Amino acid sequence: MRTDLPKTKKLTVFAMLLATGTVLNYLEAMIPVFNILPGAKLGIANVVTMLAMVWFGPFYALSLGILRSALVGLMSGAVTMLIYGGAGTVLSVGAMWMFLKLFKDKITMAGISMLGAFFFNVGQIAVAAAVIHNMQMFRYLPVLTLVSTVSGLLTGIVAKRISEKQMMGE
Amino acid sequence: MKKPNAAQADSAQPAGDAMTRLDKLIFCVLIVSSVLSILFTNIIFAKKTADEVIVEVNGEEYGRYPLYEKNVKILDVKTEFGYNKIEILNGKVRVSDTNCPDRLEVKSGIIDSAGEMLVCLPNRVVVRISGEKDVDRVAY
Repeated sequence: MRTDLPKTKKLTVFAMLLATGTVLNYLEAMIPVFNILPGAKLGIANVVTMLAMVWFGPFYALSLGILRSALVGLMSGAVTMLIYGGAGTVLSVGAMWMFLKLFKDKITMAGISMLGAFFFNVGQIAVAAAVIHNMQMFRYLPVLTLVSTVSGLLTGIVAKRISEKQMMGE
Repeated sequence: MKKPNAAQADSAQPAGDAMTRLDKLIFCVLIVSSVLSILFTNIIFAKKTADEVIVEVNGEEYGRYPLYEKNVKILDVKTEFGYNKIEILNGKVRVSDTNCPDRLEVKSGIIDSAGEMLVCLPNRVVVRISGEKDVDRVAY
């Protein structure tokens, strides 16, 4: 994490990351394959959130995630879906930051990303279960986890490669 | 292209594409536990007798209908949250029409075994096949 960057630079890079994340999020919603499993997605936009986390820290990552789901919610018109994504985002960013702090050099972004994807699903399903008052929703968690672990691994590797090639402020 | 360690000191991340042991552990634990719980829930719910279709709206029971119908039974569920058209025929259930924006429960297709369900979150409608209430009997 870089603390020595000027605030303006942080702000502009953050804005760029937010724009990139929104577009990625919007594009992946167009991939029809993932319509078979409601709620499942590639999560490629999480690359951007993870970059914000290692570059600027957890608060930037959290606000990036929340702003991103808000923007995508407004763009796609599914504003109610914002709540599901929002709960998932808060939980997953929190978990990713915790594991990054706990196992600093024992874990790579691939592992962080898989855990983030898992906790995103937990948040998503918890909100869904609360909305319909039905704990049966959690039966769906293992199915989502199976898919999200694989996609989380892939996006984690992407994020890791980017963060190694491109250091902020150099 | 590989420039070792000069830049990596900053990221506090192990170098290269290699995954650490913890990464592999996380991968294995997540995959194995989800496969096991899918198998486990399927074994539990497969034993149940599926004979009723339960429709719930906003967490409250809307109605129960026999699963095995010789002629197709069409339910029009109209509530303050929205409209869902449910069809039951000979052990199979589907939602054939709705006014909710994503229509995921329509795309989910047909359900036919105990514990399976179709969910329409925007309209707060759950259509499920009976069976899960017997979990306690298995759990002891």
